[in-house]
Amino acid sequence: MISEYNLKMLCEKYNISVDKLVNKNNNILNKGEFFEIDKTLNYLINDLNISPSNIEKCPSILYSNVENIRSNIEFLKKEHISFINIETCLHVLNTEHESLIGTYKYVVENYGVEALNKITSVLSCPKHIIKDIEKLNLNIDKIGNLTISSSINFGHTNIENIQKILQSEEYKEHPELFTSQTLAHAKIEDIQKILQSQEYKDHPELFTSQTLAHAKIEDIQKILQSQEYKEHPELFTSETLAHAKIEDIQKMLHSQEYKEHPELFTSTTLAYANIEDIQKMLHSQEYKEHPELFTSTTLAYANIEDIQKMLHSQEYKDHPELFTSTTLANAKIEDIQKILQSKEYHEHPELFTSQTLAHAKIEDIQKMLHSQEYKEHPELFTSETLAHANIADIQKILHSQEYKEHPELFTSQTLARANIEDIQKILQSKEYHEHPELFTSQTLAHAKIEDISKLLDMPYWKDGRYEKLLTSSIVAKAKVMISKLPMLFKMAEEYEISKYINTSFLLFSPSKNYALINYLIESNQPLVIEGKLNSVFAYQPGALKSKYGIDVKELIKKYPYKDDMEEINKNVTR
Amino acid sequence: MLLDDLDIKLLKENFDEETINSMDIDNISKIYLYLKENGIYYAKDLIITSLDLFLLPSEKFIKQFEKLKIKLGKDYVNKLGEDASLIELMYED
Repeated sequence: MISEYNLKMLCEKYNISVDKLVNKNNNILNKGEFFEIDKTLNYLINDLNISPSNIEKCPSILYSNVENIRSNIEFLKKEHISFINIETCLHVLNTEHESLIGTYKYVVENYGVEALNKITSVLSCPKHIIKDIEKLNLNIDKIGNLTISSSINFGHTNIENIQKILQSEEYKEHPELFTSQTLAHAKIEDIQKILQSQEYKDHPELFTSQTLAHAKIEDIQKILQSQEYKEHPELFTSETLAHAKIEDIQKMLHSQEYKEHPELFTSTTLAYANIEDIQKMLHSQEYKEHPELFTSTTLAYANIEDIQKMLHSQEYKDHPELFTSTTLANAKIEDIQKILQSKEYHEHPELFTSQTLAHAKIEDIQKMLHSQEYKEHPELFTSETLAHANIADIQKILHSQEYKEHPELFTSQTLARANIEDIQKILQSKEYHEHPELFTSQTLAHAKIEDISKLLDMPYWKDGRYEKLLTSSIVAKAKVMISKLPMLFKMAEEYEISKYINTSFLLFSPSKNYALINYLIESNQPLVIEGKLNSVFAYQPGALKSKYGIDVKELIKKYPYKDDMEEINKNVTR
Repeated sequence: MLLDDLDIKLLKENFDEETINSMDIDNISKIYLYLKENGIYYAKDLIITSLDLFLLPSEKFIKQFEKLKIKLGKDYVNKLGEDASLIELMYED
């Protein structure tokens, strides 16, 4: 046991917030001992350079046996597990040493070391739990077994809950809503309440696997019945429903900060931020001096303490061009320092942009730049690859049969954004074999075969009026086209222009096309001229305003398409 | 370059949430500046209809756009402004 006063003294010594520790887990007061905590903090901060903010997130580490922590650290370092992953997952160090070794060996043998770098927390889970989950033969990505095992270990769910979900009618009817996250976090009773609710029937587009995994119907109902939702529906997405509470949203939307800077508040801000942190940020000296570095993403993901460390660092003074709002939102100064002090940065500075600093870790970059693949195909490695990809995925891609047969479809962007399983599904699909001309590197980088297949199965392409409109860019945007095309074709049929619509008509939004149709009709101008769609439909709105003085935005406000679109959207989602 | 509520509504009609969330403001700003320097006064319209192209690294986008300029010839600003479908040429590998 340790008194709050003594704990505070220790925290001051190591520059840690006692409030954050106790608020997160007040067991530390009962289970902690002064000298043990001192010894552990000394080891974590002075020997391992672990940042205080990571310790604040995991108070239980402070009442663990320091020798057990040391044995675990030494073992994991020896086995080349990324230290950054351990640092942000400190609770794994509490695991009994023999159990950690057993789980480590089992996971590496059956899932590969990369899986451990992705789901490091599974190390705290006894291996029999992973085996129990494997026996369920879940229809999910293999690595999902580790996510679920980890969640069971934390007590978020148990095998019985998962079995109930798998046997449910809801799972049979909507398998797309059940991912490893849903199985790891939700209970069948809560899922049933959500899927049977009036809210789901009215707004299916707001319910995704994320919503099922994290939200409760009572909270969703409060949100959708709120005045705030009625006034700002554009701020509410499935992400907001999955992660936010109405009380926090209300505080945000009634704040002075929202009134003064509405552009900084998006659905993501509502989903992930809280008003107290935003207020600290917007009243800070740093915001006053560098407002350009603060966007809605910064508000959603960063905290002012980390931003201050970054903007007062020597690295920022030396390389301000490498620090943007994205860097502030996603990176930590400790990681940036490691990158800028590395041999790799000094040898290849052209591969390091603000994006690299914002998204990559030095360990991953080093593995990439020392790989055989980089030596053989340096042209496929750009700053984007370094920022978003990892070497294990790149190796899988470059050693695949698909790469050997179609190297022209693989660019640095494919390496950065896609994964080999999705690429293989695309290139082995019936759709690819029937229409290879519709597949470009852009398709491989962005689209999924499930969406492409739905798009190509749409009845429109058998219709002589529309078949010529199917291009590779439509396929690359398959996901949104599945819901957008029915609206556009329905509109074209209603106004009897379906024989004349062209690619431009499909590129623009339903709202824009609808507004122009109504404008032309009202001003007695033809929709079709000499057998072709009136050329105004092909104009970029800016060009239309400049050449003919037609303000598309004003027209959209005058002729809103909202209701009809929502109705079609619902039908499509269903 | 600031997207207002209406721009965002149109963007949501044209692209799925995942694509919109992949927006890298710094990368898009670089492309936007390049387009403005090349006389594309309707650059924001291009973002709204062709956001997926703006997810390309700015250097790659610029390379592709330079190729588009050659294909369209001297009058590329007017041609692209008057026929949005010409942007499709940028999808060709």
